[in-house]
Amino acid sequence: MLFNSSEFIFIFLPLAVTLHFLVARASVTAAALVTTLSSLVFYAYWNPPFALLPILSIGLNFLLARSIAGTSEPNAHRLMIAGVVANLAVLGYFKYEDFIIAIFDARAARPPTVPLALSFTTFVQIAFLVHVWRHRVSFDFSRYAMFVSFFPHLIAGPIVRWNELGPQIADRLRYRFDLNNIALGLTIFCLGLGKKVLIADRLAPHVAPVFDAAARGEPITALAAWCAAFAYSAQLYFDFSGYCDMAVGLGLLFNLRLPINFAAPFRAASIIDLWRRWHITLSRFLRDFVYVPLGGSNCGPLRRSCNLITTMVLGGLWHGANWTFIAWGAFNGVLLVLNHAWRSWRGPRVPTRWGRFAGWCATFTTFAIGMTMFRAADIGAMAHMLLAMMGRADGPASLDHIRVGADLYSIRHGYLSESFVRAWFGVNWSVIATLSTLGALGIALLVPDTVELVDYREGEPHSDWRRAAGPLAWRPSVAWLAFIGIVFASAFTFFWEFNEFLYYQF
Amino acid sequence: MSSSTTSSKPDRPQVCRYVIAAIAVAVAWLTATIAANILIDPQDVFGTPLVRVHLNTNARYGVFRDYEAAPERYDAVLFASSRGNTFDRALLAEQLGVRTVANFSVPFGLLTDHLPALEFLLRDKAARGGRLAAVFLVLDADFFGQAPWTNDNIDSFLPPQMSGESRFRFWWRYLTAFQLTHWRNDLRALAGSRPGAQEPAPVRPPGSIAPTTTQPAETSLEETSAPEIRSDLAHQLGLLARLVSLCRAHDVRLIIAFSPLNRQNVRDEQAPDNARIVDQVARLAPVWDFDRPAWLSERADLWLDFSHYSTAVATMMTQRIFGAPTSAPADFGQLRGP
Repeated sequence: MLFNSSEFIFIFLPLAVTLHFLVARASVTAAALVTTLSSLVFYAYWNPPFALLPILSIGLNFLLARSIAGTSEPNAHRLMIAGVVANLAVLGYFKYEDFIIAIFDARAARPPTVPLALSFTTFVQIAFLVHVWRHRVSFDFSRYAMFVSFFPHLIAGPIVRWNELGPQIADRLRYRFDLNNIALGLTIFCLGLGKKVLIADRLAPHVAPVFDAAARGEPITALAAWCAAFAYSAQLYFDFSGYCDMAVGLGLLFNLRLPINFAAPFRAASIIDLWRRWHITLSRFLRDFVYVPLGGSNCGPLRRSCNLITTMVLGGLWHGANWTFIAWGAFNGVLLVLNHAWRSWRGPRVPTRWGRFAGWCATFTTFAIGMTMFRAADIGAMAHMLLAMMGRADGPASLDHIRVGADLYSIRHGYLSESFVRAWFGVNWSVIATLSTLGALGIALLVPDTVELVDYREGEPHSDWRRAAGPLAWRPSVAWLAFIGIVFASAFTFFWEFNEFLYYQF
Repeated sequence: MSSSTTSSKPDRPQVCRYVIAAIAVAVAWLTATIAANILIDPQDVFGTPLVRVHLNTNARYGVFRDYEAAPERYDAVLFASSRGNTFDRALLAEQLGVRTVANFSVPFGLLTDHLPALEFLLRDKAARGGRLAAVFLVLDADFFGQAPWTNDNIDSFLPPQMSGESRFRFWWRYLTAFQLTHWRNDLRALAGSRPGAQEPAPVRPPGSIAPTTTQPAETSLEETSAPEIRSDLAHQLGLLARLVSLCRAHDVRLIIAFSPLNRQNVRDEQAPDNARIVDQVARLAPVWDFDRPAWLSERADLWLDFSHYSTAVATMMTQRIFGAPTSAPADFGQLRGP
């Protein structure tokens, strides 16, 4: 079930929230179990038989965690390692089996059928097992099951930790209906819905023809390739941050505060800063469970560089069994190494205004190049797109192959010259797509982000990125009601399109 | 509890009003949408009699509803795209030796539509103690293997009895889809405010050219679309193989024919690709290929538009297939075997 669907918003969600608080009047434990059940129904709506997987996973990890908590150190450590390996083995089987076999068979891998949410729940449960081993925390089944399966974060994160959500689930006061949280939650949910449906989904039809043309090896102008790279960056940001906003809003409806996952990353002026602000919960997981165990930054610059690249490659691979993700991870690893080297060379001097601007340009441009790798269907398509960005994939484009009709109206009425459009954008991109992309990037860069507007700070690693929302700051006023009403009503008109979140595929 | 976020909490009545108003707006919007969909019924799935002109009907549901109205009447079925609507079903029934032929011709109908329909019909007939005697399948060489319309848009969802989708999802979709353009078009057509609104434009499969027979087709911006790619070819060949084996398993007589094409619609350079499709299908079962005859393309009176042939042509096809006397040239239609 999608957050951006009418059956979720009008049927599932009201029922789940009402049941949670009604049952909580009788028993908090029962409320946790009922919400776990609701979450499994939410999951099963996609593919009922696959719901067995999270059920089994929750059950087995619970038993394992209980064993870890109740045994002596050497055994606990062994059990924890076994649990981590078992979770990774399940993920590996569903996600990477054919990819690995295909390497040995020297053939192209088939797209895997990965059960929804597996990548995210695997990391949640690994973090939990390690937490139990380190801190020997007490927990019961109802809290644990709700912690893992809670539907707002189940499918695509944020990747929650036991120490941030577990105590909230145990807090009896949170099982009382709280109007303030409902008001705030509905507002955040609507803003996230707007990001996804009104911005990300509107960019998608512009992006796809360019990357599809790259997959077919067709000519693409340099401008079209760059525009598509920027457009996809904006699409992915609004899609995923929209999803995360919705998750946070839904969490608040249950009086639970999920961590933020984005901190206006497009405003970052360095690649190091960007990765602290993009998919924050994944970055911190990789930092805590890959980068630090590898030695982190305490083993000298060379080792740190290797650790960074390894961490980013694994982070790339987590997104899917495709060489493009590995290349994307390696590329970002190298960028981080270069950024660290630059900082070491430059010292603690504060950059000037122009220096920050140059840093922002370099960061955003390299990020968009990385997104090109991320979006490409395969290595061949990726190479084609990168060549196109260098102006080396251009060629005579036949008008018989026009795939973008967005500018037809303007051309026919004489507002645009067709030769101008075709010379600069080829047959797969358009002036309207350019304007849409600029509009989306303008919103990302200039308008305060959702969590700034509502002053939500849960899970925020640092707050120096924030801008004051000023008069735009949320309050339960008529103006805000009108705004979210318009956003919701506009988004509702697109519900029939059934656009999944991009991160559902990971 | 420190679960609320804002540092200075607004007063409770204000928050309460905000929450109630937000929920009321959402519910009102949903209710208005449901009411509009039921009353106007743009896909003609609810059968509401208020607005009788629909420009975006779900033909896939429509043929199912027609069948369901009197299922026992039919003992044979015609599967086709919108080109199949010109077949004289009484003649077809006579030639097939059956009572009545159900028409399952749907816009841009492909195997993705025909196979689920056949599976449903076989199940339904068996449940009613009857049997399906014959299937007359009309394919289009120019569209075969292209990305199907089936379940792709609001006017192309198969009924749940065929698709296996839950009835709740099917009906919820038609209740809650916000479709301002379709509502407006239907209401305008009803009011007769648009010229020609009372006669809905025939649904044209993609790639077909508008019926302006007085002038040769000019290359305009709309028509210079990419040549359609047969991205679904292997899948549809697999579906066809299943359809053939189902007919054999249930002792259903199967006749397959490829529609004749108009040379003004299907260009010379596309002909070899179309021929390749006919060859591939002929490897699975015998097919009647009506190709792209020059004489037929030159006869504007035999075409409804450059894509859809007239009843006269459909009748000639029927006569040729069943060996009845016909006015068509002797080389019209070749039986191709595996």
